[in-house]
Amino acid sequence: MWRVRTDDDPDAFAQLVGRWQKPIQNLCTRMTGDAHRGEDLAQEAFARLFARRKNYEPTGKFSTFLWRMALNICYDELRKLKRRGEFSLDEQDADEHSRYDLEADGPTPDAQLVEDERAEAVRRALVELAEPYRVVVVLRHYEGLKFREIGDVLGIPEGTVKSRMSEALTQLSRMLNPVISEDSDRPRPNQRSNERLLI
Amino acid sequence: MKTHPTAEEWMSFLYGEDSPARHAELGAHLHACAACRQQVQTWRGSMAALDTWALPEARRPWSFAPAMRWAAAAVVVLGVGFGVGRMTSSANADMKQLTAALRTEMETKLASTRDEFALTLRQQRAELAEAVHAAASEAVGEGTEAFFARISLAIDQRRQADQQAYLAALRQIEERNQSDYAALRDDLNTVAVNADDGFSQTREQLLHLASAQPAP
Repeated sequence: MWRVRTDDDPDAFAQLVGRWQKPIQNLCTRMTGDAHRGEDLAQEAFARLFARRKNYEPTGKFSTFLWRMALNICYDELRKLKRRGEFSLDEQDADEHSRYDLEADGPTPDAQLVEDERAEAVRRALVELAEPYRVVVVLRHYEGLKFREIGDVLGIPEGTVKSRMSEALTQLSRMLNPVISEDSDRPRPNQRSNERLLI
Repeated sequence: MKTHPTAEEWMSFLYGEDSPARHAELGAHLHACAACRQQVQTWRGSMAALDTWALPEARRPWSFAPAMRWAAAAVVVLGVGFGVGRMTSSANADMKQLTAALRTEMETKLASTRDEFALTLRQQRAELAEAVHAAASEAVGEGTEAFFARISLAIDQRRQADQQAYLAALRQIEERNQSDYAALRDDLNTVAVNADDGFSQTREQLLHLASAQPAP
């Protein structure tokens, strides 16, 4: 980022985009619940990053600067959508799911359909969560930031982040009760590896 | 453990952010306390459910390098325009006219280059679509895997060609801007020298007139 800030180095910026494109796009997608919008917002985030490169203080952590900028863009977009009454829980289009067609070793069509329905239920539940809870879930659970790092990004104490996370998981549990009940009856594919399985 | 751990502590536990010692303590508590076990189980259910929403890979890599070069070219042009504006803030009308004309010319050139660039982009996109279509047609009868491999290869080749074309176009723009800038500087220098000569001549004429005036 320093080379971008001081020398306007295009190669350095390209490297930076390559490193951060996916996480930022995922963040925007999960915050808005829309893959296409997420892609657009991520591009906007990088355009804004370049435009405001001089505002970056090298004393601060670059990732915090970038996450915060991307989140602000997501908040702006969500505000706009709410104002226009466009924010909806509509199912994502077929394109989002078409990736499954290409996976030769994937599950059977029936199992795939069930997986898709579950994923859609989770997407809807996440979109229904209030923003302060949603952002914590997205950053901690999906993007893997530590609670302390989330506190830095959001400018709130670490303890507040944790309490929001617990409240978010509680609310999600209520919203996803049918999915969770179903889930407990079957083995979980692609289970994330960490502590939660050990006890 | 006499008291129940807080929700915050359980979050650290569930996401593996607590110390090993504290983790062991909480684990022991979990075995002994049915209420906490039920609560943690609820949270774990939500965490497992969250895992089911996977996102597809990013559809296309972006390249901001061309945009950066474009922005740099625009900054050069704007900088020249701004500098010219500052330099011509004096009362020299000729210079103002000249710089205005030059600026207009440069803006026109830039707009035309941009249009050319957009046209090239559209053509390249059309060519890419054709290449994919051709690969798809040729691949009829082949295995699905080979089919997609061919498409992927065609897209990669096209993308590389696009990048080369972008770079060439941007280099051309930069070179043109450099030459325009040099020409502008030369013209401004000429005008400045001419103006200076004009002032000198006028001064000499005035002095001549003053010395030629008859004494009262």
